[in-house]
Amino acid sequence: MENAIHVENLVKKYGNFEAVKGISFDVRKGELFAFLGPNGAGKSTTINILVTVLKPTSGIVYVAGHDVVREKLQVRQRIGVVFQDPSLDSRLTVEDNLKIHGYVYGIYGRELQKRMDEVLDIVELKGVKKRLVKHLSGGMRRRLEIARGLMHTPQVLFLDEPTTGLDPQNRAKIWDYVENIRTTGTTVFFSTHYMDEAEYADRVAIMDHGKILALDTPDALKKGIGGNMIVIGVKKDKTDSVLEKLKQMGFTPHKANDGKIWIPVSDTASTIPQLFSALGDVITEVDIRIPTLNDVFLTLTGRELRDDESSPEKFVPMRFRR
Amino acid sequence: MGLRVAYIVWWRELRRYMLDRGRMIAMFFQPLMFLIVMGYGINSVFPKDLMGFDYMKFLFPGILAMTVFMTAFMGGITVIWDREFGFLKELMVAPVRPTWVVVGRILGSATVATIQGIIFMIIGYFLGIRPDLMMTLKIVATTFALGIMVGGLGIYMGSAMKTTENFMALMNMIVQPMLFLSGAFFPIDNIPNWLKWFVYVNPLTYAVDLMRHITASMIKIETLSMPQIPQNLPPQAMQALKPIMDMLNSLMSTRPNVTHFSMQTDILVMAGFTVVFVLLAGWKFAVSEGV
Ligand SMILES: Nc1ncnc2c1ncn2[C@@H]1O[C@H](COP(=O)(O)OP(=O)(O)O)[C@@H](O)[C@H]1O
Ligand SMILES: [Mg+2]
Repeated sequence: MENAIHVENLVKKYGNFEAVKGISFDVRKGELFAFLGPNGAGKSTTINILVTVLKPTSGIVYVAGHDVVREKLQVRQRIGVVFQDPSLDSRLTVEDNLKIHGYVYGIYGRELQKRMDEVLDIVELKGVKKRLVKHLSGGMRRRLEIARGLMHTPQVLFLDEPTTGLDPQNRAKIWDYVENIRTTGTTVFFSTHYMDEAEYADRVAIMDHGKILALDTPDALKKGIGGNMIVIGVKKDKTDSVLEKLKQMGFTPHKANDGKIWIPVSDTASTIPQLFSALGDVITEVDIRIPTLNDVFLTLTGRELRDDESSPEKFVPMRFRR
Repeated sequence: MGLRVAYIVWWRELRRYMLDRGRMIAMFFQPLMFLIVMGYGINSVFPKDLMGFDYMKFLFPGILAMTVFMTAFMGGITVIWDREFGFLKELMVAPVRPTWVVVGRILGSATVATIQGIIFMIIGYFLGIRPDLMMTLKIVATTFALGIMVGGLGIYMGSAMKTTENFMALMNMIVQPMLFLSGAFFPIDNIPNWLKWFVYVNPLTYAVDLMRHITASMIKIETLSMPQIPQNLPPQAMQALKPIMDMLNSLMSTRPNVTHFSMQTDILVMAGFTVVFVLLAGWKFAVSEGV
């Protein structure tokens, strides 16, 4: 079976700056695929190339079976896009925006009305059909953009940070819709810098500084860093010496933003006594963590993924939890 | 497919115009002020009979052309707005060629400008400027043609400019000189030659001239004819009257014409400018917005 997306050695340079440094990956048909990475990782750059609005510097990119450089129009007909930044005509109504989109993609007349109602249903915006977009809330606008991207029943839907800047309720809603959209067999490709959101994906590509550092299912990624995490708190002035000592013992410890030390371990039960006998009274607290994608990122880069924006974790609907 | 894209882009321009009454009304302020102040003002200083035309009616086609020019040119700013507010991305990722988008945009600008022109003509009707039906149809056709020409220019400028501020600055910079050097306010027959060159390279000149051709019979005062000297006067009396007659004759002959070029010239030059501006718009829009 042909893949929905095929990328080989993709490079994008802005002047001398290499924003994407030769990445390769495939996305299978019907898959929910995520790009996870901090701001500036090169997620949007890659997505803009995939959706044909940016030219790659080099590399091979196929989307929905067509080359994004030589067969732009064919690719565009088969994809739906929600860009990171808003792209609605806010001076027109909800209906107007969908109508324009419909005509541009060859949908009009009765079919247009039908599709309009269908997509507005999906994102629960039927009630505001006649409202000016500028009078909608941020969350509603985002949902409208998703609806618009679905109007022409694309094979692949791209969502570039679809929840950034939204309140928790709207975030949760958007993931509900995405789950819904997937049931129709649509391939969904999204980017995010929230690890919790990447958990929804079938497979996640972890991206940093223009490179894909790891690509697998969320579970496999977490298993890959070896069992659980032991998090220890130590007396402030001892942090560095403890890190040194742990390395000598054969561990790969990381210092988290809050000063605590994270130690990936395969066998938690036997490691804890070992730690206490080696470090003894320096340890102020011990915590055991089942790894998250943040831990994976930390292991891969030595940095934390999370920035100061609050995590949407608490508001994620239960059925998404794994 | 392409035509449908052009249609919906055109529809969008109209829809936005309809939803934005403020723009509609604001665009009338300046032209109306010119028409009323200048029209009544000049008419009160110079007798109509001496000039050979009613200045208010002479001015009207010029001000109408100005309204159409400003409205159609402003259409170009939507290109910049779309870029600033993100809608451009929606068009960029659409499976369409930019050519059709430009066609729709230009026709949109021209249509909006024509509607503004028609509203202005209705206002003119109440000020006593009442062209007959045939004239009206011809004027409307001319405003649409002018709308396409200037619409092209506006889209070109909108695609070339980076920001709204730059565009507005440019508009303020070119609109005033274009207006004053188009013959909208005065006949161009008797102006100095060096000034004429500016008038000749101004696309607006030809639109104003064409509209004057169309409305000439309404503008000119036909009631003033040369006084006839009774044939049965004695020769001495004829002799005595001659200098007066000569003076009157020369006065009549230096009375400026309301038009300057032939109608064919006006149409041809406008067509030429239109082709150039539309091609420039299509090219620049595709280069700056296409991928
Ligand atoms: N138009 C541009 N010109 C120059 N540099 C750019 C441009 N767009 C993005 N970049 C740079 O490329 C890198 C990747 O950006 P981006 O793809 O937007 O990352 P992300 O979407 O993951 O936050 C960043 O360092 C950014 O500053
Ligand atoms: Mg981004």
